Amino acid sequence: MVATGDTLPDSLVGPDFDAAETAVISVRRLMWLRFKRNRLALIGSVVLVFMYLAAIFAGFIGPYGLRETHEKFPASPPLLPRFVDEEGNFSLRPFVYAMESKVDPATFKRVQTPNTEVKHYLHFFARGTPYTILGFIETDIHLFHVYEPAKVFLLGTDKQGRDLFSRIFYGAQVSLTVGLVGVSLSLIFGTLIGIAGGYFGGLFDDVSQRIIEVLISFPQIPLWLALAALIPPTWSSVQRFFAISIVLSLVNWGGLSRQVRGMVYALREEDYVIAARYASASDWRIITRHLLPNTLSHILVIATISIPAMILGETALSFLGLGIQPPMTSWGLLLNQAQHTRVLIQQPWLLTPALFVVASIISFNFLGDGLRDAADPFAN
Amino acid sequence: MAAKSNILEVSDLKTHFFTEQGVVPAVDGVSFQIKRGGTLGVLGESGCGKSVTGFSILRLVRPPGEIVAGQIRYYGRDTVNGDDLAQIDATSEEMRQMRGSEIAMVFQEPMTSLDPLFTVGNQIMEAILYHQDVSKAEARKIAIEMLDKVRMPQPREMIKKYPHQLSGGMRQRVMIAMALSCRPKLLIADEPTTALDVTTEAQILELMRELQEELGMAIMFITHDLGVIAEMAEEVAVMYLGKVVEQSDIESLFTDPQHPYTKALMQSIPKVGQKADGRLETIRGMVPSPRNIPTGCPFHPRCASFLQGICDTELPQLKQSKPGHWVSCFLYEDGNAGHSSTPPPAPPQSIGEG
Amino acid sequence: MARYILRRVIAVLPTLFLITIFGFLVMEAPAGDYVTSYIIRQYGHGNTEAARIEDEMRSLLALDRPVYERFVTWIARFAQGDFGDSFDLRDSVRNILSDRIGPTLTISLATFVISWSIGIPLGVYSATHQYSKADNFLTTVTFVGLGLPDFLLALAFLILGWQLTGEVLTGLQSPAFVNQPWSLAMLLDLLKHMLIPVLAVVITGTAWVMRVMRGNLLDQLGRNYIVTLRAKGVPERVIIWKHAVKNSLHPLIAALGQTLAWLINGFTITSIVLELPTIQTVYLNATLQQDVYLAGTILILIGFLVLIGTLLADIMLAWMDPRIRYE
Repeated sequence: MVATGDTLPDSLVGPDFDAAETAVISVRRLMWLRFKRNRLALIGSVVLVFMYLAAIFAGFIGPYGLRETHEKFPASPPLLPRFVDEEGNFSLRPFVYAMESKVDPATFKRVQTPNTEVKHYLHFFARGTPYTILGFIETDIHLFHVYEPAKVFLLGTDKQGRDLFSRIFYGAQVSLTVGLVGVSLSLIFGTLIGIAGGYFGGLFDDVSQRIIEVLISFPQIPLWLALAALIPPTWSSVQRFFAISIVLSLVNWGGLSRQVRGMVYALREEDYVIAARYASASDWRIITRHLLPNTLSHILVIATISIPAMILGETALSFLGLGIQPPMTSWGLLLNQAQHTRVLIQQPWLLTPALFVVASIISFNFLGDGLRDAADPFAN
Repeated sequence: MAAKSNILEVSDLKTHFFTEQGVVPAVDGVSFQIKRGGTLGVLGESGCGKSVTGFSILRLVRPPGEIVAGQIRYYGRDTVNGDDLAQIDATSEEMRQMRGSEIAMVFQEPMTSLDPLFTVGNQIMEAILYHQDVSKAEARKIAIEMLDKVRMPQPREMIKKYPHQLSGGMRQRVMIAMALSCRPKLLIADEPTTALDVTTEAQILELMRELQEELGMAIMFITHDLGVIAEMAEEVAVMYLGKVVEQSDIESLFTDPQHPYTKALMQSIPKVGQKADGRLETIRGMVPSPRNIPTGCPFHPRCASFLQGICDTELPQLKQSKPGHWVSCFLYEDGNAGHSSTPPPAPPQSIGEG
Repeated sequence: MARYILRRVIAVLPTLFLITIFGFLVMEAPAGDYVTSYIIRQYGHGNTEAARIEDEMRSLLALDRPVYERFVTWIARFAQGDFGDSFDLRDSVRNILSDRIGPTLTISLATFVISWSIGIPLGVYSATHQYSKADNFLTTVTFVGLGLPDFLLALAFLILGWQLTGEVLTGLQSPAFVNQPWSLAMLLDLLKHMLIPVLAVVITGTAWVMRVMRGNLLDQLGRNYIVTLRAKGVPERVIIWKHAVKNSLHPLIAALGQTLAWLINGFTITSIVLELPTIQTVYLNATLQQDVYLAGTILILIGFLVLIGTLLADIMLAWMDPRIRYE
């Protein structure tokens, strides 16, 4: 008779039916399939691509420059292009009426009234204020432009008479990069310390864990405020930009590092790592060949997920006047003027940068979620 | 009319999984019978659909899985023609009442099959309270009795324990006690000893045999282990890629395996007394992907007795090759004599005797 | 159990101490001190005389003492519940905080209760109806909710409230009710004012609870013990509410510290925008003016709160989960 306890040889044991079966497609392809299936993630990434393009081509999209002021139009409500004139005639090409400033004889206040005599048509791909793209391509072509004395303010102006629509895209340059810079910094800190702590353990691990414990005991926003107050007020706006990135990442790296450490800690006991150690592989080789590749996709997912918090952090700090300083601008700084309730109630258009903040945060959340699903293609 | 001698008759059962990557025919036309009080062993590799068959009987297959065809006739209740479980709504009260009280199941993973937040007593009592009209105190008494039956030391203390405080073997005893607490007429045991060490395995198998005798229930014993099958089963159904390829009584299967797959399985096992320097036989090739099942006989790409032009085009049917022995293979069908180019069927080999 | 609690409490103590040092140092770290920032502000108001009393002021506030000395004096008093005085508000930190603890707790608690009592059932519904239309809708709403910064929402609600009622609903009371005895009208007025901040923070909170609950429950529903429960004929409703939900509440409870952090975060900028009489509003000013004892105390207490929240969560988990209890 057959001896009891004999089982089928390993070569016969195939994958289970209920596990996602991948014999035919590669992991990479499966990741892509998973990601593609997540419609929201796709929408998020498309929105982000457009946002970053808009930030790069800020000068092109906005009709006016970053610091261009229109003295006669402080706190102006949106002046929109129109298709139908005063007499009700339709024009396919959008136009604006020039505004004339008059003193109201009854109230002695300055009021803007449109001069409906002359139509000023919008010019597309027209020459206007010079600007540079990516810091080296100099040009003066704008997506649309209207010649003086007419003005076009799609989203109104601030109290200094600067066009909010144009400034939002310049603001995007800062708001959308501060998160990336911040995340890259915490990625470097967090990954190095997490891997070192998880792999080697010992005193280094204990000390770094304690520091992280203290850091993550504080809610982010109060800590951001305290750290942002540390930045010397004399610093230039570029220095401030990097300082804010550092502040954001200082608060953020701890959580990331903990997760990396946890993963490395678990992987350290995996058979293939033990096998590598028995094969006398060096620590460096084990870390770079086995631990990093296996944690990389998760690390990138965690990083993507923490970008929204950074965008929010920058917005909050700049909103309170602790973040980005002029002459730079950011969405948070643009919102700074909306901080005072009375101002906001009279000029609600000042809140429009918030829509961009929200759109970018939601898009990053969508993207992060899609990436997380994709990074773990075997999960249900 | 006397009660039917079978407790369960499954015929042409098809359970398919509609996944994004395509349809997986996990169970694809399975038929077998289980006698009252008898034991059917279902033998097969992981992924052959044997567990899904068990889940299908209890209607525990959840979307994207679905029973697409076939009958599962259960004769445990006093209905004249039995009940076709495949026709009952899986979420219905009727089906819920069947689970646990008529048909119970024991699973492969005793470590994770119990809710970690409740005591084992609570979990056994839960099974009793949902099926029997008894008070909590009575349910508790039954739970203690059942634990005693499965040889748990100090059952009165044990019912207060949480799952994590018990070893794997102990937890499997709890699972068995829970499954048997409502005296089901059929127990589906899905690899109940796979996760246990050999000594514990032997004890659990012994226990199951004794309890079967005492309670008179039928057992459907799902396993990939030939040794366990030999010890437990009276009848054996061999499954390959969602189909039963051979079914017979245990004696006949081991002395006269007929399907090339069964033969290959038998040969791939080391035998006492075999020459030490001989290489162990393996089945050539790999189990094909369940999404990409070969045409014709699903085993043909790996078969040693493959008949060109037949095995790869036509699907063999399960037919009786000798009394009480069924096989689905063209080698045993009539009219194959014309294929002079093919080798004659290999003579049945006896295994393990020498 | 008692030993477990004791062990956890002891483990937390060094972190509490580190938080104290860290909080104090962060507030001390900016260049200059309260006096410098005071003089700059006076200068801004056109008062150039303030610079003359600089040294006098500094010695009066004991800011001329070395940092370590002030820290030791302060920490010794801190341990006895005396947090020092605020330079700017000319009052003890204790009084300032106790004036504001009521409103702070009221809005935080209301937000917490509302977001959990909406988020949990919705999360359960979403998970038990996975991939249904309702689930897809809720999941999308959750995502949008998580992306809405509370203070921007508060601003938007403020405009909306003004357009609907013609009132600027900042603060927690209309001026007419200040210092009045309690009345129903006053309570209604308070509720009206609470609506904006609570709603602004509740949206993110509910979204978060819902998302965590859905994820946890889906994870639990895929576990083996659920199959066992189904196989023994337990009704699905019982499986979900008695077993799966109980198991999936654990990660939520474990995140109690995080929840406190979220409440503090949520009301930090919202409070400032809406001029609420909360502790968070004082915090920003104190930080900017280098009012070290006030700002430091708040930062340290916030850190303590989160840490103690985590500790409490651990103890609650141990009480609920036999696996930890019997460790």
